[in-house]
Amino acid sequence: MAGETHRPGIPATKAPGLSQKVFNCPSCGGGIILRALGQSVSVACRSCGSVIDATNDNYQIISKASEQLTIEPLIPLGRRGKLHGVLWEVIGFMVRCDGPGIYCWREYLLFNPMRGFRWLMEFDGHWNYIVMIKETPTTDIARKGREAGIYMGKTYFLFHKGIAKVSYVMGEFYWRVKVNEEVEVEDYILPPEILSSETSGAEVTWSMGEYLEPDSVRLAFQVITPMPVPIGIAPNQPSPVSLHSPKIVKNWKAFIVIVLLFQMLNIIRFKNERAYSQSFVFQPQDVAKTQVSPPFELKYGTTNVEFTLHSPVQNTWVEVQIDLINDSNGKTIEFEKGIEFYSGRDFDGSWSEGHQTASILLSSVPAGTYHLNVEIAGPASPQSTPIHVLVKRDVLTWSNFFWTIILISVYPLIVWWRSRSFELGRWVQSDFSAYHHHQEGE
Amino acid sequence: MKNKHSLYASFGIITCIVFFYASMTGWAVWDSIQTKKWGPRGHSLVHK
Repeated sequence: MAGETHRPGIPATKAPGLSQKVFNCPSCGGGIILRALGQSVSVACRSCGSVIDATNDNYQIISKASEQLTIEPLIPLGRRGKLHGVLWEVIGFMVRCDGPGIYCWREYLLFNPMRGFRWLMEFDGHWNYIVMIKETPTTDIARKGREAGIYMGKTYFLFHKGIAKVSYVMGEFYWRVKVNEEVEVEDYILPPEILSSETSGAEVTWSMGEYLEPDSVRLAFQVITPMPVPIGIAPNQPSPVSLHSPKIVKNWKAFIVIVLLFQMLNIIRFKNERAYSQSFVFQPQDVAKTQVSPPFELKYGTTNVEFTLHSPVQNTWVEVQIDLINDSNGKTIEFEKGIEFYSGRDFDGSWSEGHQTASILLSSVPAGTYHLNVEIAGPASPQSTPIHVLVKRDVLTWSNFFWTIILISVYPLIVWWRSRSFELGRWVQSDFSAYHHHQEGE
Repeated sequence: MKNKHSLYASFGIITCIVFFYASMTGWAVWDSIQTKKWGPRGHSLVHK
């Protein structure tokens, strides 16, 4: 896997005002431009690929290219572009691959006489802007069950360990670069940053990379040729739906607390008062006969009314139609409710279906004096059936509370799911994924 | 993303206000929907 930026430590930048120098390749005679004169240690001839010592005017050949050059960098050597407010010039280009040579990535060495060297790295269309760092991060520690590194107080999780091998070079470099030289690499990520180490013998160098949108590279260096289309998710590509930094979790928590507090207040506030109760009897010959209750009072302004109907039906049913009539203005709220209960035994044992009690909640009923008109229907049967009606006023309800919780949680859940899917896509490329552990453990 | 978060914040505030209003007026949203739209009109288990 790539995403790596591995090269020796950068020498201290010398005084500004450096000029270019042109000389002929001692191998093929082709013209070579030294752009970071006094800074570059080696330079690769773009005609023959030979790497030449650039530390003195002898221009000795360090290594010769074994095959014909065919790779043309997307950003040509000598191209200048402004990144993070600084004008950089591309002076070197190299291709590195992992140990087996399956994954290869491209690195551009940038130079500014005042700022020194930086790197641009491209892998699968994803770009990183890389700065070498002098401090050594703390590694070999565990955070949340994963190997991690700490740098500048921030925790970076290990994403990749492997080999990086130089497969192609062009232009100049600040060390004696050689094709096929290998280093051990480690990458730790905290999107959009990637902390990378390169180990060669006893020397360990660290760099810090920052994910760049391809368009920012294209615009900075006026790249005319089509940019490679990003494939997959880069190790340090920032999630477009990250839950870590946005205010969404904070907002969601605030809403939950407010709703919880208000529902607790409701528990205390609601009266849950028994306003009226009466038993009615259904006689089969009384079908369509209206039974009228005496008037009763509903108090407490405009609030709800709960009707609880109970009938000891057994393998039968009754249907109750109730009109709640306001005696002062005649306004009527009507509803129907069925009560049915069946039970018996079969091969599987005893069974039952339905209930002998049913309830219904009427919303926003104004205070006043009311009476009930009750019509009961049932099957033709010689038996009479009692129905008990209980009316409660100002009843605490939970449906509003739960619906509010659901509604305010839908968007955070979608964001969480999308964020998790993105992270799964990122870490599926890593041998150090916490998600792998979970899946294996499941 | 920022706009979506603002939209979410607005939606959450409106939802909380509706919850407050419903609590204060005894308006049970879900029960009202059940009663008005899909409230039992007869019974599913019994053939008259």
